[in-house]
Amino acid sequence: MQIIIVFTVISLILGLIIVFIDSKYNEEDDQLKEIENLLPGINCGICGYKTCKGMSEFLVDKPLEYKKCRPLKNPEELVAYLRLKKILDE
Amino acid sequence: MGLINLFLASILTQNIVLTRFLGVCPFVGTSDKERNAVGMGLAVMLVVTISSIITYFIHYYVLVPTNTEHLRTVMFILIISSCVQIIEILIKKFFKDLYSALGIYLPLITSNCAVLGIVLLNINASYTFVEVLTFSIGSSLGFTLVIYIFSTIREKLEKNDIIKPLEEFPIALIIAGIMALLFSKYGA
Repeated sequence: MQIIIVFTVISLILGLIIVFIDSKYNEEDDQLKEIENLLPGINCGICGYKTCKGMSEFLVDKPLEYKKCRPLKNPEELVAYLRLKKILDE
Repeated sequence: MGLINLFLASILTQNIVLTRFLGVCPFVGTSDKERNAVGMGLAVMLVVTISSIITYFIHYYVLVPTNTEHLRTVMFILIISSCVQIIEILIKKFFKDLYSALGIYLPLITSNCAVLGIVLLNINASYTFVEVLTFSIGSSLGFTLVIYIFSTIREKLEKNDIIKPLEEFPIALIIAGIMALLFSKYGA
């Protein structure tokens, strides 16, 4: 019984601290999230950026690099490819 | 005198990576570039120091009075992951280029057995608070030192001709083994 109380209390305190720091210091860019959701999300690393999330951060500075994504050129990813092309080809 | 011995021992003779063989994954994984290696080492130092202070207090003022010491592994993992999460958010805000250099390796510090190892070793050896600080800072400094040396060797090695089967990763492991042999001489 004591174990349950101890763990619950400490987990709650840690959770509250994390939420507080997250709300204060974490800045989520909406466009970045959108680009990241459009990428395939397999983290294959073919583009050279190791993770899809990493690539989406680089895409902000170099928009045309999305062409490096090999899985994006598959037929089932056509919608995402066209949408990315529309956002980034400007 | 005991503190200085402890400090030097945790850096050299009982090095966390090359003698105790904890934390080899980030050691080999982030040492391909010097900058990443130093960043990783400093992040580990920060995480280890903060975690060992918090776990010391949690262990002696919460776990021991309520007779739940046997669950310290679970509790320490909880504390270490929270610390890493908070440090990741702060690094993302204040040191943007370090954050993108470390990438996936920063959350991986959570599963770095060096961090959990140092924290549990503090408890097993029943160190006092000052000894806990000395040991943690010393061990993480040893980790940073070794990862920095290794990254310089690897960077230099990239420019040399190595036979194809041994390129990149296997030669790194061989070099790490040679380093471990050299460091074992400190204890002899």
